[in-house]
Amino acid sequence: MLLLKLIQNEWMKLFNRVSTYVMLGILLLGIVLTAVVIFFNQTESSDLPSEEDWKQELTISNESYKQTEEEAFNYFTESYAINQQAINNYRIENNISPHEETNVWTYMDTNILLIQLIGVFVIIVGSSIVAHEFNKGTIKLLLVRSASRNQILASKFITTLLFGILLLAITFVLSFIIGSILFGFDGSSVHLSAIDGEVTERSRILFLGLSYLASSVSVLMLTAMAFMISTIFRSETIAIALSVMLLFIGSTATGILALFTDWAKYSLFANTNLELYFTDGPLIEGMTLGFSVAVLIVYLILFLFFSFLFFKKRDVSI
Amino acid sequence: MSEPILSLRKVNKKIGKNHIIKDLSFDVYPGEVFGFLGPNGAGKTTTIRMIVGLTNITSGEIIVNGNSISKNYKKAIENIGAIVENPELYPYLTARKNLIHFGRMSNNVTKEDIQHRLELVNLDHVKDEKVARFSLGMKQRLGIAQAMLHNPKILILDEPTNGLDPAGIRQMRDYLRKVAKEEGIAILVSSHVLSEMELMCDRFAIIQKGELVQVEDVSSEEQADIANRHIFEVNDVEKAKDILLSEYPDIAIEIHDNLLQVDATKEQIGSFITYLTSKGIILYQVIREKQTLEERFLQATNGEVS
Repeated sequence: MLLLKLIQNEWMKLFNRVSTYVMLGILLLGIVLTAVVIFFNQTESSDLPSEEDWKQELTISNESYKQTEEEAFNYFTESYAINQQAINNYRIENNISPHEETNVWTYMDTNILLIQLIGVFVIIVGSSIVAHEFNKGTIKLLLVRSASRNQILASKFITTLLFGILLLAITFVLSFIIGSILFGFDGSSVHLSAIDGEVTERSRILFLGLSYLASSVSVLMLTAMAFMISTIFRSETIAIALSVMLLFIGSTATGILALFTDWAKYSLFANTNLELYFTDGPLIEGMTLGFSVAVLIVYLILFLFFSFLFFKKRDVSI
Repeated sequence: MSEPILSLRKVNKKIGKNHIIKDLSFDVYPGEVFGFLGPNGAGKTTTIRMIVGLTNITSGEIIVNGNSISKNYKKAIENIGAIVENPELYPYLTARKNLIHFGRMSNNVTKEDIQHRLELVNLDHVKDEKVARFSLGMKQRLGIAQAMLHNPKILILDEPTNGLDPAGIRQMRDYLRKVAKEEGIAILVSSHVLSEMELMCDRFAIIQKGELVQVEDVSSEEQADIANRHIFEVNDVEKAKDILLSEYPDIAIEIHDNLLQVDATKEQIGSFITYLTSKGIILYQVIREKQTLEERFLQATNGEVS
């Protein structure tokens, strides 16, 4: 099938470029670095506070959440305070300490931060996979063949996604391997979350998988956006700069926006954090998982629609 | 001649108010090397872009092996192998990987085909080196190899001799002529360097400011009914001129550097020689002055070469 061969081509080109190996190297370095830092700052069982101490600590924290709840001026702050109190009460009742020894799950939890890094790399690949062909002029030899422009662009988008999945899989699997060797499984606890004051207990591995996937949603959306920008402007720089900036400040900006208007729920970043629906409840009252998924799909379709529209229509004049 | 493999019919290209290509029509037939000549900026590359579908045609039609490039792109483009402007291959891939890349985009290109093409363009010894290290001539040859991977019926090359040294140009010329004759492929070559085209092409078209100026055979001057300039070296030019003018008063005749210049057809020249000899003039030699492609080009474009 032609599309498969085109993807094979894109993959070959990607892995014959030095920059790809630089990215892989930096990611590996990141994984090793967090392991080293955590290794030298491990919480041993002797460091853990006594039952009396942490129960005391949670009671104090609940008082401050209570105050936040009463003074809260927006939906999310209020529901967050309610949920945290519920979790703390659950801990006290069921004797589940919030403190635990360093183990493979705490290490993997930390490495979710690396998904931001993966985001930057996938955005770079998504921005350059089209623009690079234009900059080097190779797009002409690529287009004057029987593959349609749709097929060529599709192969490039799919390759970018596959690259993202590869980086994610490397991070998840390698973190698990390194974590289980260095830190082991001892002292691991369950994961607690609460929505509308209802507490749910989940296994750590399941929740980590969920977190990794949920964190990848914003990477996927920004990659599609970077892909669109680079296809329209045929410039790697604009696409990378804009998308990376949004990757880092997008959710903060949306959080601030959400304080003032409910319309913020239609913005991209109010919906990328799907994890919220499993942990703390929606960002804005009335939002549901289905709503967010629908909004994300609309954005994704728009980004891809404009990418294909511009890629097909334009004359190649380089 | 047989059916044309490439046919341009009243092709126009407008970008905004600029009328870049005006009513351009010509045909290219299997087995011929067709020169597409014109000064820089005449619209050669724009025309090639339209033929390979990189830019839209404003009006008119381009037919490749019976398929319209705008209506049936896929079928039409299958017959074309092309290099547009520079042979821009992936610098970070090796020569072989570049060919594997383009080979995957067509059906039935085997490892053996790739090896065969590498050998034909004499790049077998460097096939595992990155293209970034190649000279322009090597890139041109690899460009031709990628254009011919899928056995196209017409090869379109935009300025293929650009940046080549004389040996490279000669090699390219021999290779293209061989391919055209042996494989029966039509080759469209654009260029503004005319001396090279003269030796490479069977026929040529000249365009200027987007308009076709003329299409003709490189060898057309040898046709008997066209008046060509001939130079006569004789023992007495003045006397020879008078003798000729008395018998043939209409002919164009001039004395230049103690030589006689006469514009006449092959047949006329024969009778001039007999007549002059019979009147006692001694003829040392008669040379037909060949008009080079360059001179014809200058004539056709009124000397406007960029």
